[in-house]
Amino acid sequence: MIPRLVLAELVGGWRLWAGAFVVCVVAALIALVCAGDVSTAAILSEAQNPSGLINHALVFGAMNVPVVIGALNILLVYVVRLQRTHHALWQFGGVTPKLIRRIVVLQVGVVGVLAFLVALVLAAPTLRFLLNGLSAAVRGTEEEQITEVALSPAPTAIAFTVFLMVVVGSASSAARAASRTPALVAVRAPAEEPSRPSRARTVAGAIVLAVAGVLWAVTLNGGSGYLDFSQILVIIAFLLVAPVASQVVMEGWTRLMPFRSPSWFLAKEFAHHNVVRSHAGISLLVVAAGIGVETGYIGLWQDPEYFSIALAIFGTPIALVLVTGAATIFMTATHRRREAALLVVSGGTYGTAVRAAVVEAVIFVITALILGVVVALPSALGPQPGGTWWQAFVPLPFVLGLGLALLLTTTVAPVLQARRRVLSVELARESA
Amino acid sequence: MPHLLFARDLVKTYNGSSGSTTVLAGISLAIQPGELVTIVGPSGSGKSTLLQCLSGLDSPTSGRVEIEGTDLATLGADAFAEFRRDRLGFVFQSYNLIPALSAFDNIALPTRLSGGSVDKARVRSALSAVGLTEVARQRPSQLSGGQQQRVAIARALAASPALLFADEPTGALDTESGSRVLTLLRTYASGERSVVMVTHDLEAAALGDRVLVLRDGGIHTQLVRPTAVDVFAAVDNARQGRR
Repeated sequence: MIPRLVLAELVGGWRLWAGAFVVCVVAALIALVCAGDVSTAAILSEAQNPSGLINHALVFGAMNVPVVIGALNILLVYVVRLQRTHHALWQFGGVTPKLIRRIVVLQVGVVGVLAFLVALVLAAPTLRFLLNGLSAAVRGTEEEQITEVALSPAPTAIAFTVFLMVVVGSASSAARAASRTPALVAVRAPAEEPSRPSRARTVAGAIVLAVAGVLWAVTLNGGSGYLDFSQILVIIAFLLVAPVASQVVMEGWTRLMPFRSPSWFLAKEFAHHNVVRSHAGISLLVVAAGIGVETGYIGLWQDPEYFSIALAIFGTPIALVLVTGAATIFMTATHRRREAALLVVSGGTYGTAVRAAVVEAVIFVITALILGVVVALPSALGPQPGGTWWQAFVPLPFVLGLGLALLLTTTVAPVLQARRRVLSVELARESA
Repeated sequence: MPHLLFARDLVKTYNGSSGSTTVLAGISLAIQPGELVTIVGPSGSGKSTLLQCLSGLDSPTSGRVEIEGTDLATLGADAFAEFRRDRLGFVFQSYNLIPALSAFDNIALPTRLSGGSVDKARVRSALSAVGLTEVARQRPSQLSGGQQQRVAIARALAASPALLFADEPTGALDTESGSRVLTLLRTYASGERSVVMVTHDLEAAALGDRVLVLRDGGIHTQLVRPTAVDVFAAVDNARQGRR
């Protein structure tokens, strides 16, 4: 019965799991790139600097593992939250909380294995792009260039094991949440109260922020190498208070705007409502901005030669958080299609709904920009290694521009889909 | 007297993997201003589909619907949205309020969408008419089913539509809330304004000036100002296939 339930729920809720699947593919690719680095290093000559590849594997892995864990955790918790009614209904069918936990872990495991298989197919071209393409600039002579990439069985098996442990580990809190779903949810959707971080989480955020402040002060007094840690700690502190910070900042600046058009009104109200449901879209955009600022601070955007290296190391975590943020919004497509239908039946046009979706995406990005600038302050106000204070902010427009493009796709596409569907069918659909 | 709504030869067919199913088999009807028309019939008789085609929420496979002399099929998407906003109102069994908006904002939405400024007194008066002034700032998820339905009715009534469509408006309500909703709808249908209501509650159907009993996608019986007993008998006959 369990395999059938696992598969039926995966197929039935494919839209929810598709986002998790895409993020898992990127995470698996990251693991396979590390495995590819190690495998390729083994077949390189000394002139081709195999230790450089091992270093890449270490830095690339270290940069990506925390981001993968964080992104998957946010995503899977959200997937489970959107499926609360199903989990409550299972309980009426006799499925125990313990079994619900196992089923959710199994679902994530199946998605992870499928994602790894897809990543295996994509691994060779990705490795060639990273090793032949992006690193070509720093491999000066022809004999230093890497012409062949390898992916040996042993490193691949280790990559698979680590990947699956990370995926299943990230699913554990989501599975725990699923097993605690009250059966009452099957009968009545509970009111969506604004999510507030727990006291412990707020205290942890304050402690992390204090440590970041100390490290920043040490750097100002001549200590070296602490600013990077300080920047990372500020990002972590932000994530700890993100649910309330995202809401407060968004509500604060949007209420100050003097606009009165129906599109602005709807976008503002929808954005306030949706940020209560999930702050993931904004938080992940802020994390991407924070990582981008870090690359700007260390001067990787000043020199084209280093830019490709920056892309090879920092590109994946930035892409991963942006894709995860977009995935959380993509998951609510059914809800957004119904919202567009409700708007139309209330007297709006699909044009109004599209404009509201565009403005809502802009509201998300501007909120992320404000928070991103605050998060970037340690780098911007710290001692600049041969540059000016604004060099840390150079990547911001690119990262947020990319985020805006992804958000626009995920908010506008459901409205355009709704336009092609029969209104009565869309209205009858259960909101996801 | 000119018809407020006129429908001719409405046919609705769905094509599925097991062949096509005809849900409406050529229905023609007219609705006059001031009428409350109720539609009843056994499950699968085509009640909701008829209401959706009459209100333009769905298009008939063939046939024509005119409201106030305007053929719905000739209106483009945006023109129809404006027509719907200005002339039609809807009350659904599942309330269909916008979850992101408060009760007040849900009621004010049609005015806001038309680009007009919101008349707060009018919105409050609509809320007061359904006895819900105290929940104006609450969102739908914070309201009970009966309260949500009354907000939906206040939204529909605030815009003073010429024609109000109600699909099982009391289906999810307790007796007291349901009776309150029916009184509001009965009172609304007067003068130039009409109500078309689909219901499976035969006592509620008997409130109609006219009752259409559907069977197999066609009008089986039409009753004028019937008693509840008349409606029960007519539906029973429709179920048995008797005239």
